[in-house]
Amino acid sequence: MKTRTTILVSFACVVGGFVCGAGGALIHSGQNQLGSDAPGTVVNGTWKTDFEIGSENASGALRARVARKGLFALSRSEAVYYTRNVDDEGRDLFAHCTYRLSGSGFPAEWWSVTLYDQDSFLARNRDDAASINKDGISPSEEPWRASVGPERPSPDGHWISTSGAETFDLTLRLYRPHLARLMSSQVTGFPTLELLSCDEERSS
Amino acid sequence: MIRIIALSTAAALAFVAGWSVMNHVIPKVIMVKAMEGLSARGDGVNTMTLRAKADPYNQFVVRPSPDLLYSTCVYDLELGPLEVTIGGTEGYLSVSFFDDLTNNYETIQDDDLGTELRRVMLTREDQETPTDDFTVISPSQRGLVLIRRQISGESALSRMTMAQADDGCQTMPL
Repeated sequence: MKTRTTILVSFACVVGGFVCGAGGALIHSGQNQLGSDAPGTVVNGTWKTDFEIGSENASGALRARVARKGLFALSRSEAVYYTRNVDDEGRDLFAHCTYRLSGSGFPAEWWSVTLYDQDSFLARNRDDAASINKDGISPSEEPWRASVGPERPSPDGHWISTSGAETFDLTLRLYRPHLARLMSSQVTGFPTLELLSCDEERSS
Repeated sequence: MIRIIALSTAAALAFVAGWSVMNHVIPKVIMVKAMEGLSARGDGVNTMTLRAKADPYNQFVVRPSPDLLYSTCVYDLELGPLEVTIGGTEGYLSVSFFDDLTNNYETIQDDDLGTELRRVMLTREDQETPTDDFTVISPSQRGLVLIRRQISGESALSRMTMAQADDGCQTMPL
């Protein structure tokens, strides 16, 4: 009887451990958090990436996360993807709030900033304002500013619409990046994101 | 005491095994599902699908960029190498190749292609290429070719769409 109990307990421990490990990996892969101790993977404490995205050297955990949250991402020689899901004060990002996004030149040939909703898709609205990119910013605007919120700020202002989302994150794509600069911890110009106001009626 | 240590060790090892197995399975399953979905919602396998500009009501993959125009080709090299043609274009363009584990094993830039219509042959290591064109070797039999073009305004979109019309992929029988 004692032997049988021992076998059952052992079996439960092994099965339980395996299930917990598999479940943990599944949950972990669904989270957007990136960044590590490596230089350049966290900029300003908010923009986070992993330089092994798209690479054959990517860990199983990173590969699983990218498959769920950024399938068909390019390797770092072609593009680097930074994501942030908090404002400058570390607060979560809400679609009923308005933020000021400010930045200047990036170490890359071309760049864009795109808003994704809580499901990692473009927010469902007809504002035609899901992103901004380098082509829409004239050199005289440096450092540039854009509004991130549910209302268009002005006809000629840069705007990323949050309509249709509940919470969101922003992804900064750097194409043909200057990797040496990015990986040197001396990166400047990455956008700040300042909370301006929240419309509580929209949140209800 | 020894029994508790042994059980804890067994549970920890099982946890690591479960973690590793799931992290291996997720990309494989998602890539298979994605390729099935892309070919079903597109023009099938070994055929280039010209995607419309991504917007909130037209998203063929998670986190598409609305600043890029995509063409996709889900490939299967069982019947022979694949001929990939890329329409001439201006501005940023890349042709990226993904194996069945989601690895981006090769990317060709517009600087390598020039502005004219170009061809790339995609083969397995054990297949011979029938031409002298630029050749890419796929580490897996199945995978995806993804062409990205930068869109700079509405006027550029029409030009990019015209260039996109020359994108193609087809099997070259051995």
